[in-house]
Amino acid sequence: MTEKQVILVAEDDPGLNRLISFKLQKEGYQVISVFDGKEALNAALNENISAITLDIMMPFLDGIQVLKRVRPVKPDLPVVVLSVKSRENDLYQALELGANAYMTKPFQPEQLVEKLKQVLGSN
Amino acid sequence: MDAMLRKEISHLSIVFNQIKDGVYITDPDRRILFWNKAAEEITGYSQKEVLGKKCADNLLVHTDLAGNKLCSTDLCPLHKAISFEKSTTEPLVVKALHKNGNRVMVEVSLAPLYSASGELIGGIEIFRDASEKIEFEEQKARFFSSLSHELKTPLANMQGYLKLLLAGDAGEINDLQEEFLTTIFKEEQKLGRYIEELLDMGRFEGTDYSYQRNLLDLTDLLESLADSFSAEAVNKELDFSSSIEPDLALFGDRERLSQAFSNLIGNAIKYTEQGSVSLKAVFSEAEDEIVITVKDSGIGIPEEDQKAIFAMFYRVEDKDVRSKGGTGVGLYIAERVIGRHGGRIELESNPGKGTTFTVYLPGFIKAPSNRSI
Repeated sequence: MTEKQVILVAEDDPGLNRLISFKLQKEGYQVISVFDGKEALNAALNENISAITLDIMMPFLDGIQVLKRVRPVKPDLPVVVLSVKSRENDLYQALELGANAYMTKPFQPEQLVEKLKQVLGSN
Repeated sequence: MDAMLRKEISHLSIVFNQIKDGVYITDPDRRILFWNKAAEEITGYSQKEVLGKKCADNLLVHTDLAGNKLCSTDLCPLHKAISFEKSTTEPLVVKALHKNGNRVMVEVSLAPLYSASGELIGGIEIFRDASEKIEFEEQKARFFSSLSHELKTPLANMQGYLKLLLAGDAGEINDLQEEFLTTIFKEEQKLGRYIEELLDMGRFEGTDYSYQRNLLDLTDLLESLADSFSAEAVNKELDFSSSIEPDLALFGDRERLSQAFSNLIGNAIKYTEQGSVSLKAVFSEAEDEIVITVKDSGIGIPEEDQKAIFAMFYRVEDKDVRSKGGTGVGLYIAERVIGRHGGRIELESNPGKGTTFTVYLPGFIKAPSNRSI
């Protein structure tokens, strides 16, 4: 049996974090859940992960800052950023910084799974 | 005629110089005859500098919010007020040029002036600095944007969890549990729609400042609405017809007008169980305005409700109507938006037979040169 891929779920809303994590586990991934930017950066740099779903608005460090610091170290790590549509500029900035895909909130978990599979597949 | 106006002005100047709004008066050719103290403050030009000049002579230079110059064109609001002898119903927001080169957002109201014998003797413009209000509007927009996020996130999460439960992802559920969960899911969707409507109200009600004033193709806007609503009407087995004159145009906010007309057409379909819904738009040359009618053969609106129907949250008290769902902000939004474009809505209704909403909007027919071939 191949080893499970590990997804880092960085999302400060506990309801959404659990929802995404649960859905991903159902899909056969192993999940590390974190709830702020510092934890996200720490896990992204130190854990052996296959991809991140990265919320942009998070306490301590926002997703943009996390991405800025992770990219130089892990240039090929697939990253899906999450944000509300009203903050489109954040999304553009994230894509410029090397995010592979984005989801605008609100979304349904299966949409995120699909997007995640795409970025994992293209890697 | 001039002498008469001058006499009037000298009587009024004491009053005009006390008020905080900028006021100026012109003759029918838009030559400035009076310029009050507040106008001096807001624009930087003294009365001495402007008397006898035309309002377009590098003074004020009104542009719409998109930056299109209005002066010396038929779109000059003062020209419209004088030549069509029409006062503004809602203040317009335009940018004016300060003597120091800065652009100031001003809210303007205009009216033709008449002598005691009823002769047209000029025009008056009253304007005020709108910067503070604009700041308030921007704050409000930010508030609604964050409120929208705060309200939608938990709803979306709930939907996500319900879907997991219904899919059996958290263990098998029995038929009764499935039924109840489905009900929760549907109710939650309804709640989501209501929240959407309330947020619309926050976005659409507001004052003028966040409104776009772009040249827009009303024919195209109405045709695309007709397209999207005809399917809905067909689903209810209603006859849906539309007749829209080509090249209808106006200066306005496409998104908001689209919302306003969606609300009118959507209501017509919602409250009609059989028969027809029609949309018609023509340019009335006599009145120099666009006339749009939305007509249905639905349940109608009782006479006692007709006046109040545009009030916020107003719903006709009737058990059949309540079952349709909705927050009662649709017509409120429509009327606000139309009003902000200088238009008005009238309604005619016979309970049991149907309702016709007629929208009158200042607009024009695009010049043939602008037509795409």
